Amino acid sequence: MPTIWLEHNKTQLFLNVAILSSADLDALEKGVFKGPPQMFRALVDTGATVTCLTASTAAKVGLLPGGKLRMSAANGAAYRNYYLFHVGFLLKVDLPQQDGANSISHQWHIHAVPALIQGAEFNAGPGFDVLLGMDMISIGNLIVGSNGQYSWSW
Amino acid sequence: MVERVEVQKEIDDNLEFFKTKLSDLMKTDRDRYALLHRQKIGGIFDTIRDAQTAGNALYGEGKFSIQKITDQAADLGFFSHAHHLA
Repeated sequence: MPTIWLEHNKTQLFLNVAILSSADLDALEKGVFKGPPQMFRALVDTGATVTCLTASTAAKVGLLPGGKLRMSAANGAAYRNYYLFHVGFLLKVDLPQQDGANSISHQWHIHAVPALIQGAEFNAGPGFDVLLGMDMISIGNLIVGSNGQYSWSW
Repeated sequence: MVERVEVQKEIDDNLEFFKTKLSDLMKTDRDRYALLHRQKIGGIFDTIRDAQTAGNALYGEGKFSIQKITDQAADLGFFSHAHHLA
């Protein structure tokens, strides 16, 4: 099961993610993706029902809006553009050494979650461009440890 | 290549049309997805992926929009209460 292990600061969960179009996902699966993909800072937020991203993030990866989502806000509900995409995570894979040595080398690759995410446009807070909401969190197993680490597997 | 401004106009126009139909659609197709093109309904689908596939095949990328048939607003938790969206 693909799993990422990261550290948290006991108040919030941040990580870097790739935002991928359906064409990007297809290219990744076929091994013809022209990478590396751009990575964006994301906040994991169990209080959010949907995933969000900034308009500039969507533009950087070439996404076009697909419609609008009605969003709650301090000033009432408002319709915002949404985008359809997949979220990719940077995964460290252990590779046994070819020469039989005991040491292990690592390779990084993007694990793209196949679920199609309908992510709304939002004005991000400081230091992040993507908000991963419960639509994304509930797909995998997110475990937050008391030792300052958390894991996410799919 | 479709221009971003054209995509936005299609989405905005379709949304205004969709709002006028929403109460009727809620009676028959709650939580399904409406495929919209030039302020007309092109189909109703169970999943957004199915609606997207049909939209690309029927109209081409960026020439349609998809709206979920719901009266619920998405909640962003902290952001819903601390930030103004627009």
